This record gives sequence, C-alpha cells and structure tokens, in this order.
Amino acid sequence: MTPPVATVSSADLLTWAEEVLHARTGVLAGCWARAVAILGRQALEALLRELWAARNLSLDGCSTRAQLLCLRAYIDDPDLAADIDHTWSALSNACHHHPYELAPTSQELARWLKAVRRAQRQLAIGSPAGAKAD
Amino acid sequence: MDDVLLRIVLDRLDEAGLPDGVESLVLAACDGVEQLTAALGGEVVGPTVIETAGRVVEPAGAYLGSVRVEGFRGIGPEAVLGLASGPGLTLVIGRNGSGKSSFAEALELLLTQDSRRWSTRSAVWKDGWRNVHHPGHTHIQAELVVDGQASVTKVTRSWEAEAGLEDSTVTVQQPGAPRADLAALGWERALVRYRPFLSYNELGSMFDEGPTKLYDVLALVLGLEELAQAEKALKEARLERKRLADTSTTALDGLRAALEASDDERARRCLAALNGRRWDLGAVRAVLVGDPVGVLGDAGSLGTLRQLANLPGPSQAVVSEITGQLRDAAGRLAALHGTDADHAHRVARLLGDALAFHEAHGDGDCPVCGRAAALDATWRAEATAQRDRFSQIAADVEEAIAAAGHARRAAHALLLPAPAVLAEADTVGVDTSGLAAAWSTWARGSNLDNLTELADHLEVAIEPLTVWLSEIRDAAARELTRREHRWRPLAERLAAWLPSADEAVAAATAIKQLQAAQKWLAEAATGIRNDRFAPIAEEALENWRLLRHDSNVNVAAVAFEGAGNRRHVQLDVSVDGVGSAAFGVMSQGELHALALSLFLPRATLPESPFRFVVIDDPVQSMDPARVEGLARVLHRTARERQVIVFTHDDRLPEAIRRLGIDARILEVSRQPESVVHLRAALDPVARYLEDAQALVSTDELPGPVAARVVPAFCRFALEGAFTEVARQRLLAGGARHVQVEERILAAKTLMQKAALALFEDADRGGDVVGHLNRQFGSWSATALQRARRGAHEGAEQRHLRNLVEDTRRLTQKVLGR
Repeated sequence: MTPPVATVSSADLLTWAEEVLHARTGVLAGCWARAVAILGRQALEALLRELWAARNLSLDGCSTRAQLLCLRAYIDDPDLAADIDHTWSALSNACHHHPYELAPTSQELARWLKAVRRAQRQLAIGSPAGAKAD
Repeated sequence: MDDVLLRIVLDRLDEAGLPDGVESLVLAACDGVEQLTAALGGEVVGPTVIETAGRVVEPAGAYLGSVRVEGFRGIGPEAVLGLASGPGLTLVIGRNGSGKSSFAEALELLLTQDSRRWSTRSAVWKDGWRNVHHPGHTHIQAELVVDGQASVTKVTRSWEAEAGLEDSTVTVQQPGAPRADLAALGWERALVRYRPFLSYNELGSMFDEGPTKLYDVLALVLGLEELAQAEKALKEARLERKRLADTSTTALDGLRAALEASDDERARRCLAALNGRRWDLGAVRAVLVGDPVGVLGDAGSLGTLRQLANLPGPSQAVVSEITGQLRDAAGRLAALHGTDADHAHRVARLLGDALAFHEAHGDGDCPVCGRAAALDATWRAEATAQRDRFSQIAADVEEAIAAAGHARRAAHALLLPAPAVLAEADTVGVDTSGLAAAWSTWARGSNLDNLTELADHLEVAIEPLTVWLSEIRDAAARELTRREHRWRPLAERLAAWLPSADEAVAAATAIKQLQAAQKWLAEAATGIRNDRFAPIAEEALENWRLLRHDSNVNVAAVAFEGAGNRRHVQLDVSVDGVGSAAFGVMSQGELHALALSLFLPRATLPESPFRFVVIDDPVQSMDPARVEGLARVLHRTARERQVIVFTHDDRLPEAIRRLGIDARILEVSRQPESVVHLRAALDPVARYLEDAQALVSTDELPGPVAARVVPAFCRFALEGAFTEVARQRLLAGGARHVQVEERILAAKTLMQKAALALFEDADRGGDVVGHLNRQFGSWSATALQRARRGAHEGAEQRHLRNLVEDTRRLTQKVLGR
C-alpha cells in the first residue's frame, strides 16, 4: 500500500484553489486552470470525507461516485446533493485528459469553486475549518 | 476595371470583330458609367488601353509579424500574438471565450476601411466590441512584413475612451514614409476580392444563401463584378434609352390624334412625316418653321391664301401717273397737229447739205436750179436760220410721238388680265367674283390705243379694281390669321415634342448597339469567368480530395453557370458514385469542408497582396477524419502562404502532431479580468510533464499545493500518452477514425486508457499493473499507482521529484521513444 499522505482540510484546499485561480504569472501562467480544477475536486472530495467523519461513518474504501449516491440519502437537501454531484462530475472531468479538449476557462472554474464553497457552507459540518470557511 | 481583366477583354474584342460603334461601347462600359455616357453622347472615348503585357503582376506580398490588441472584445490588457513572418502554419488554440477570435476579428477590423460595416453586424457586436474589464483606451496594431522592405510596416487603429466603434483613428507607418492613413496600403479592393479572413460562421453560411449568392461571393475573387458592372451599365443605358423612346412614342399617340382632328394641311403634312417606323423630323421641323417656299411652296390652300393676301395689282397712284403721261402726250400731239415732221426733217437735212457744200466750195451758182450767184453770204445766213427752224419742228414732233408711245405701253402694261390664283380662290373660301368682274373690265382696256380713251378707261376702271383688291387681300389675310390661331397650339405641342423625338431617334440607334454590346459582354464574361475560375476550381477540388477522406460524397467539378438572375455555382456531386443534388446530401461538416476547399485557393492567388490567410475555427462540426484532411490542406497551403488558424480545441493540433506536420502552435488562455495569455504549446504529454516539473521546482505555491496537484499532472501525462498510443495502434489496425474516437472517448479512467493502449481493450484495466511490472519493471507500476491515487489525495512531498521522473520515463516507454 502507498504510505498515508497528510490530510488537508477541504477549506484549505478550496482557499488554495481560489488563490491559484487569481494568480496570473510565474509557474502557474500556463497550468493554473488544470491546477485549480485539481484542487477544487480535492476540496470537494475532502468535504465528503469530513462529512462522513463528522457522522462517524466509514466510507473510506468507497469510490467518490458511490459516496455521492450515499450523500443523497444522508442529507435532506436534494438540490444541494444534486449540485455537489454535478460540480464533482465537472471537476472530475477536467481532471482527466480527454482527447482534443483544452483546459477549462476561468469562468467555468470560478463557477465550480463557488459551488464547492456553497456546499461547505450549507453542510456546515461543525469542524473548525468548516466553520471558518463560512 | 483592373488591367489584367481589361487586357483579356481587349484580346477577346480583337478576335470578335464587332462593329466599331458596338466595340467602343463595350470599352466605354468597361471604363465605367461616366465613360459610357460620354460615348453615347457622341464623344470619342479614348480607350484606356494599358500597355502592360497580359500577365499577372504579382504585388509585393505582405506577411504578418505580430498582432497587438488592447481593450477589444475578449482582450483586456494588451496581448501580443507574435507570428513568424513567412510561409508556414501557425495554430492558435484556445477555448471559446479565451480571446482567440478577438485576435482574428481585431485584425480584420484593423485593415477594413469602412468600420461601419462592423457596427451593422449585430447589436451584440456593436455594443460588445469594447472589453468590459478594460475601459478607456483601445488599440489594435499589426506589424506587416512586406516583401522587399527592410523594416516593418505598422498599422494601428485606436479609440479614445468613450469613442464609438466608428470613431477610430488609423495610422499606417511604412518604412521611410510619413505617417499615412489606411489608403496608403492600397488594399481596399484587394480586401474585398481576396479577403484573407475566413470564419466558422462564414463557412457555415456560404451555402445557406443558395448557389446564386455563392456565385457572387466566388466571383468576387475573380474580379468579375467589374464585368458584371460593365454589363449592368450597358443594360441600364439601354433601358434608359428605351424609356426615352417609349415616352416619346406615347406622347406622339396623343399628338397624332390631335393632328388627325385638325383640317390644317400642316397637320396632315406632319402626320405623313410621323407615320411609319422612321419619323421624318426634318419635315415636321420645316412645317413648324413655316418655310413657305422650301416646303409648302405656293401650292395648297395656305399658299393660295398667302398669294391672295399679297395679291399684286395696279394701284391708284401708278394709274394717276400714267393717265397724266397719257393726257400730256395727247396734248402735245394735238398741238403739233398738221405739222409734217418728215417734210421738216428732210428740208433741214437738205439745207444742212447745201450749207456744207457752200462751206466747201464757197460762193457760187446754185448747183440745183442754176441761178447764178445764188450762194453767197446772205443766202448762207438765211439758209442757216431755215435749217435750224426745220430741225426744231422735226425734233418736237418726234418727241411727242415717243412720249405718246411710252405712255401707251405703260398703260397697256397695267392692263393685264387677272392673276391665275383668282381662279383657285373659291377653294379657300374667298369670293372673288366682284374682283374678277372688275379685273376683266379693267383688262379690256388693253385693246385701246387712243391716248385719251386709254386714260379715261384707266381712270374709270381702277376705282372698282382697287376696292375689290383691297377687300380680297383683307379676306385672305383674315382667313390666314384664323387658321394660324387654330394651328398654333398644335405647332407648340409639336415643337415641345420634337426634342424628345430627337432623343428617341438617337436612342433607337443606340439601343441596338447597346444590346449588341451587352450580349457580347455577357458571353465574353462567361468565357472569361470559366477561364479564370479553372485554376481555382482545380485547387478547390484538390483540397476537397484531401478533405473528404471517408466521405462518400465526391465532387467532380465546380463551375460557374448561367447569367443574370440565373447565375449559380454548379457542383457536380455524386454520392457513392451516383449523381445527386449537391447540397441536400452533404452533412454540415462536409459543407464546411467544401466551403473551405473553395475559399482557400483565393489565399494563394498570385495577384493577391496578402501572403497570409486567417481562418477562425474551421474544425467545428468536422469529424476526426476530416480534421486530418484539414491538417493536410492547411499544410499544403502553408507551403506558400502564412496560414494562421484559430481553433477552439486540440483536434487540429493533435492531427498536425500525429501527421508530423511542421507547425507552430500557440495556446491562448484568458484569466480573470480578461488577462489574455499566449504561450507556445507543446504536445499534451510534454506540456503536462513540463507543468509537473515546474510545479515541483517552484516555491511560489501556497502550502503543500504542489504535493496536491503534481500527481494529477502526472496522471494527465500518462492519460495523454496512453490516448496517443491507443489512437496510433487502433488506426494502424485499420479501424475507421470515427470508431477509434468513440473507443477513446469511452475509456474514461486512467486504467481504461492504459488498457486500451496496451491491449486494445479498455476492459482489461486489471491487467495493466502486472503488464507494466513485467514489461518495464516495478518502478513503472508504482509511478502509475502513485499518479492515480495522488490525483485524489496528493502525494508526499519527498516522492514528487521521483514521481515526475518516473512518469516521464513511463510515457517515453509507452510512446516508444
């Protein structure tokens, strides 16, 4: 098995994603868009992990797709669940190489990050990081 | 008309052998409406014959060096598109909204003389041309590299803050020349004819508007609109003249009715002159001028009336003078009554002879009677007096007789019979019986010899004659005046109509010539059109052969057909070898490809000053096979021209990389606030690896961001490599492009992509790790797994460098490099 990697909070990941989105120069000049997508997806996946942890559920071994299906059962807000599902799909898509597709645009990325931020707020997990993010 | 085309027309005219009038009309029409008008006005129009040979003179070609844009459309702060100024292919790739099309549009706007055309495009365009994030100054600048010029030409268009789209300032800075405006480039006509810009929308709409519109757009390239204009000028000149002739003929209809209703013989004469197809306007004009001798003469009722009105006849004054002479002569003859003038004359002459004899011989005897010494001085004096007395008597008598004869002849000369015209007077309604009677009485005096009787007759007969004469003259004059009053309005109408009739007569000749000229030009245009289009059609078909690839649609020929409203572009299309109606059977992508095939050749016409062609997003709605064909077509064009293609996805660059076509690829991205960034694009695998390497090496990133994103970039690189290999293997195995792309798109995850590349089977993801272990060693499987998991969770900072390095090795192994 691969060694465990330090856990980073969803809030931190999202904050980094937003910082990268607004960075225009230097090493990020050419790759910022994909980097933002990667961080955004990780923020959303971390948010799910934090949600399960707060509810003392262990879904570690499950695929994200499976976790999103569970999400619909665990939260009362079907719109929010659908929004998270949709945003993850978009971010996940941007995190794979697809023939001929170019990196997402800044508008798309900004929209997706906003959706992640909204999800963090509305799930209000109660962890210090989640509260701060509000 | 440009020289090349004019030369072709002249050559054809030489062969045609048209009548001079028609030929000069064709030439004048080629020179423009003004010249045609002048030629029709009878001016000799000097033919604008150019002495250049009939070969195309290539203008100095211009390449693009760079395009700078600030504050325009999707571009905020200044962005620079740097280009290699020479033949070659440049791809600018960027997502929709990245600002790439802004470069293409900016360039076209920069060079377009009339920017009003742009503001009428659409409201969106009109209001949205300024970048929302960059209020204030807007400018577009292009550097042009012109053949034979050592330094660049800069063309700049700029707008002040708040200025409207149309309120821009353009400067052209050519090397070694003062600043000038856009006209200095001399591209106004070339931009229309060889327009080096092509957009997706244009390609799409090219066939939407039908084959007639397509004809017009293609004909622009050939410069045939000038032939069409010449044809139109001839046609309009003819129609204008037809209208003139018709107007005149219509006006004549009313006039003719009025003339027929008139009993005036002038009306009849005019009618006669205007009947039939050829009008004798000279005759009408003569009638109007009223030339009685030249045309009417003394004949006719008006002639009779005029003669009557001016009827010659003896006057009282002349008669008085002559009667005086008659009576005087009569008195003198009476006074000399009984005098023998002959006797006196002979005596005077006899005495004269005797005196001459005496003069010669002196005093002596009378030689006649013999009396002695009869001739002496006394005799001489007496004889001289006698001679003079008798001479006087003889002279008086002779003079009186002569005067009497003179007076008598004068009287007889007056006593002529009535003029013949009196006999015709009743035909014009003048009663001359009184005058005739008076005149016949008068004329009877011609038998009289006696002086006193003659004088008496004259004095008696002249009175009724002069009364009647005056009456008849007045009557005739009144009748003339009456007729004149009735004729005048008709004459005025005729006079008013005559100028239009002159024009109509002249027009009738011109119409025939114009018709002949137009007919010739139309036929010549068809020939010229087909001759000039042939090389373009050939090029277009060659393009289409490259582009059609798997398409079952074959285009065998492209040709211009028809003329006037029936002009159209004829495409001989067959589907699977069966002839078909052109456009119905073709997909959107095929239509695009065909449009591109047709329009690329104009970019390579030698007479175009543009050595560049800018194509905005040609690959939308093209399937992969056709994109490959497009890559080949662009490559072909780029051998001689600077081809700049803007495209919204990586299909075209992928095809170009796969086919090994030499091209420069630039990537445009647009960050927030419309900051547009351009960088050279590598192939995707190399780019991902370079990005990953850069992210590992930098300390610019917040927190452990690198550890979170680098594995994902490694996964991108691996996915890219597997995708490329999969495509190569599947295509090499004979699969069709469409199927290959479907299978590649279906392989979503890294493992599926790897399996597709390694086993040509995306479902064998479970075999990938084992295969890599066996094939390349365990490092490769480890790298793959770290990239896969790390894309979600990040990786440990200490593994990053190795991960990037191993990923690079693995992609090279996989790609067989």
